[in-house]
Amino acid sequence: MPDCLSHSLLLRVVGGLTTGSIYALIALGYTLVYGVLRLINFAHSEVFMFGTFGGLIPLIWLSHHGNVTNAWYLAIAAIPAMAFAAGIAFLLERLAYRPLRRRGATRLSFLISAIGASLFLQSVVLVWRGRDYETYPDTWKVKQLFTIGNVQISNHDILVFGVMIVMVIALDLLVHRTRIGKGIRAVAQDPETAGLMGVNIDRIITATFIIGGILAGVAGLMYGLRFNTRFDIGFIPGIKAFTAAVLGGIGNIRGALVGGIVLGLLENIGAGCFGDQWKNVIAFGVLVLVLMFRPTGLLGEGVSAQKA
Amino acid sequence: MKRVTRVLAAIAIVSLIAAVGCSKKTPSGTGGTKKEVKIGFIGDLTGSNSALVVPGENAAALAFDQANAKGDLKVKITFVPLDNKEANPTTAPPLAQQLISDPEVVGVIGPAFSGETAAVQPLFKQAGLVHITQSATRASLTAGGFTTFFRGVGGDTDQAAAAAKLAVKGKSCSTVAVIDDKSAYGQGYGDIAAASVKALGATVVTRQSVAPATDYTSLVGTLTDKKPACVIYGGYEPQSSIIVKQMREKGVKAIFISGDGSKSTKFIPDAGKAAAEGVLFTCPCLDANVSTDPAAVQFVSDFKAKYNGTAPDIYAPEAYDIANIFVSVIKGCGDNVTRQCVLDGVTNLKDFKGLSKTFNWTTDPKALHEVTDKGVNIYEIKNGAITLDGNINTVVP
Amino acid sequence: MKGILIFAAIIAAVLGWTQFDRRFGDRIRSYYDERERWGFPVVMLGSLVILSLLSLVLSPPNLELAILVGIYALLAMGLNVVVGFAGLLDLGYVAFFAIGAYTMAILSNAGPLHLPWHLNFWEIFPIGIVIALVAGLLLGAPTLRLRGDYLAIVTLGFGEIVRILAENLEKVTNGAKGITAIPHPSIGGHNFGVGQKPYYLLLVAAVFLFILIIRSLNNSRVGRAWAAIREDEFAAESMGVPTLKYKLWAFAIGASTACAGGMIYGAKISFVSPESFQFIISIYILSAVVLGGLGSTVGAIIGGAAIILVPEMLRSLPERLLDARFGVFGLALVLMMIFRPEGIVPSRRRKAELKGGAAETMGPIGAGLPPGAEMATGTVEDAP
Repeated sequence: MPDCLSHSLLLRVVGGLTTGSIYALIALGYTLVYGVLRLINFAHSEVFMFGTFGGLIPLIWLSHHGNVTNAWYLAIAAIPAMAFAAGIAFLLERLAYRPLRRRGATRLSFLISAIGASLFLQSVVLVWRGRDYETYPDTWKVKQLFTIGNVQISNHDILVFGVMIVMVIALDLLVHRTRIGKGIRAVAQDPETAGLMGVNIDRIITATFIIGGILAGVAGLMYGLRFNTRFDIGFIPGIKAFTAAVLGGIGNIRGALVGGIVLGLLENIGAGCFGDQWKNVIAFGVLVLVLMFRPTGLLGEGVSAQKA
Repeated sequence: MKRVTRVLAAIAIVSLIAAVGCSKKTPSGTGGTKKEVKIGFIGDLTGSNSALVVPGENAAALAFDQANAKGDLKVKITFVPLDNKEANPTTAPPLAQQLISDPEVVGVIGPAFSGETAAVQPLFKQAGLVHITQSATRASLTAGGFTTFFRGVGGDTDQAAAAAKLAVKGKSCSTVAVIDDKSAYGQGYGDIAAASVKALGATVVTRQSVAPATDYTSLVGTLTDKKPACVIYGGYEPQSSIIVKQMREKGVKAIFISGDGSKSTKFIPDAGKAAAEGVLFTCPCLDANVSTDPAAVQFVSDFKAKYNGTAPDIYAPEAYDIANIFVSVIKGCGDNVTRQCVLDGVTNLKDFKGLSKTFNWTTDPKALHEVTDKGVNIYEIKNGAITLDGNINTVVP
Repeated sequence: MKGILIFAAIIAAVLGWTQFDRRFGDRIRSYYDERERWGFPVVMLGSLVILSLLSLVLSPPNLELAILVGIYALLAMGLNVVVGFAGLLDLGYVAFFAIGAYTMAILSNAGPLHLPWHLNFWEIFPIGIVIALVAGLLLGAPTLRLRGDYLAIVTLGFGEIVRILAENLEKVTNGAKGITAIPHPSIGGHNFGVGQKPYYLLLVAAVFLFILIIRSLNNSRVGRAWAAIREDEFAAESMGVPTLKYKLWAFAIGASTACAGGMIYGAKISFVSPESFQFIISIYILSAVVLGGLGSTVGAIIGGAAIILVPEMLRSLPERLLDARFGVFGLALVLMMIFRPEGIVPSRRRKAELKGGAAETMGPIGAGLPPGAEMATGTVEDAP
């Protein structure tokens, strides 16, 4: 067994699980919107980025008024993070996509508009916050909880993974057990009939974007907790999350989970074996290969079956 | 919509007239009869790397203000900084050309970064316009025979070798990880450091490049696995500070050494006080804020006075020195300040005493117009502040 | 302050132009169409003469800008073939530009590979075009079966992969340090050197050459196939149009146009490095095409010029806003798609397609409903 696999495999797995969890959370947003609209929401990476700021700014404000080194503050910050991200997602749908939908615009127009929105949102944050990287104030201190072999597992690792699992379960329940979820599934499966059956398509679409935004907001909080943020941090995780969504099966919720984890693992193990400089190539390579040879992904297409 | 369009058209016409009207050049030198000469500056003033460039721009502006105020020059020096966003080599030539085409420009400070410098060296050479850089440290820049190019700062070769010496001999690290950020600067630094480490008899446990990012989980994983005693990183702030932060979070205790690209006042806030403690920097530069030399102290207070209390950051002293070199040379040209005169003056510079070093140029065609006094200093973060340990040769005899 | 005035002037000028076009555009276009047989050569020759004369009038810094405009015009024209004519969204287009620049660098022996021959610019140029054609085919063959969105992402991936390869394959590309001292072209002993005039004229020639090539392709069976694919790929397939073949044509032409731009760029600046080929450049080129007019070669050229010249005109803006130049392009893209998808200089055909519900739309999710129509306000459980 090559050294990179035997020696540090567990290390890589832990790293892969935590990175992969963030990819999975963002991927859920992509996969939901795609399932309902057949549209890749390019600007979802910026929704995620706004989520990181949604958590950052209240925490900074609070930290000026007292000590925030308490895990509860992290939980409190989740609310503005989700709200901020969901708000951006809502505006995105209303202002950038809905007018095009009404007009019956081509898919190309949507893609171009999405790219434009993505750039614009980045520049808004650039002008607003500047170019410096920003860090979350210390809330929940990193603590090495336990050690397996030579690998230390911290409370943050468990948190990120755990939150992701909870969110996936929650989303799954939402989609399969609630009214809105039924509407989403209906529109994803056959919009025309759903409309005929009395489903308010516009409302469902709005709801989809908002839900995706909430998930991205949570992802943003987890990301901000562990890494630094700035206007352009959405781009690479966004692409990787999209890769994850496609890898798992676009439109498939469990697929986003599987895709995220698998991609995170591949990346970390690949980086261990070949060197970190190839990490992004691995991610892009996976994307290209999956799209070329198995575009339906590992778990197949989900919330609906694909029409042309 | 129609009316709105008409209103907008009216605004357009008015604005256009106003803009054109405002752009008529007000005659320069409105305050006096002195002829005007210009010194240009090319660097990334608004992009990701601006933190490494703007202090130099400010310092140069300060130097020219002081020179003009002193009143013993036959000409008035105007400073022309040009922003090359993101230090992109593609957009550097038009900026260089802009300076070349302006006959009043007699010298240029910069470009600040190595890639953009490589892109403009041929242009300046052909135009006979001298340019002195305060921070472009890539070794190969002085090997091309560009007689109009001068490097006012020690190159990467010495810096990276000093890092290796510090790690292996100074801190007794027998296992070293050498990482770079794939940039022209970082990779050059990393390559030379790795070679020097090996030459000194230690082991390079891993030699990798990491694309600038915020998530360094996989890199930290490798470091946890390979357990080097020292890590040498070729690259810039903020990546280096983020890497250190994540290293310490995962319990990687290796000593962290990086180069001048990382030595910025933002390093400690970005990494966090705890993680930043003990980090070492090599720098062929002077940190004027920690120097006791009276000239440096004066410079710091002048700088703060002009710039609202901001302290001069990296490369500011070097840029200040270069600006003063130009002032001195221009003074020597008296009434007849031409490009040729300025170029000759710079080429024949001898023992010019600046804040950061005494300036003399090398003549070896393979490393042309480097400074002879390389002055690589070692800086260390102690108790939450960057302090000067001293010249590498004193720190590690 | 001046910057804001200029900005306002530009916006108003664009709006003014769109109104003008709305009223007179079709009339002028029909007028031109009727006389196209002799009209086209006249316009071409006239522009050629005027542009060449400009090289004597413009100052060197402006010529440098003009050269950048020429390069971006080439790039935009090429991408226009892919996106505008064939309707394929390529987000990794900058890769072909990079391939051109590096081909010039490596084949002229300026790179770390020590090749046993000495080729000059004119000899490398056709070789580069061939390499680009092959690259276009290599990229296209496996990916052109994919749906629009997927194609976009895959091409983005390819673009990044090419750049990362340029960074990592030290022995071939010299990695991040880049390749310097690329020789300049010469004609009859007269070396182009570092001046501007010869490169400017070369670019003018290249742009016109490619205009002719693209135009003749577009007016032939190939162009008709592109239109068919663009409007309704499935209908085209069922009518017997070999869509894959013509999509590959589009990719190959686009690739070679970008490659030409890259080769001239490499020879002029004499230095190439991966830094110059970031993903964002693909977006700038796409913006140029979209803003100028999808499917219109002239529009693409104007878009390319705008991308270079507008930021130059706005240099006096306050620093933070200047930083956000790319954001303005982004906003412009969104607004364009909503209000004027045919771009500033529309091609008539595209205008008709983009404005009124082409077949490849979102179906009942958007197209079938009249504007403002909401479905019955009830939710699923209220349905009968």
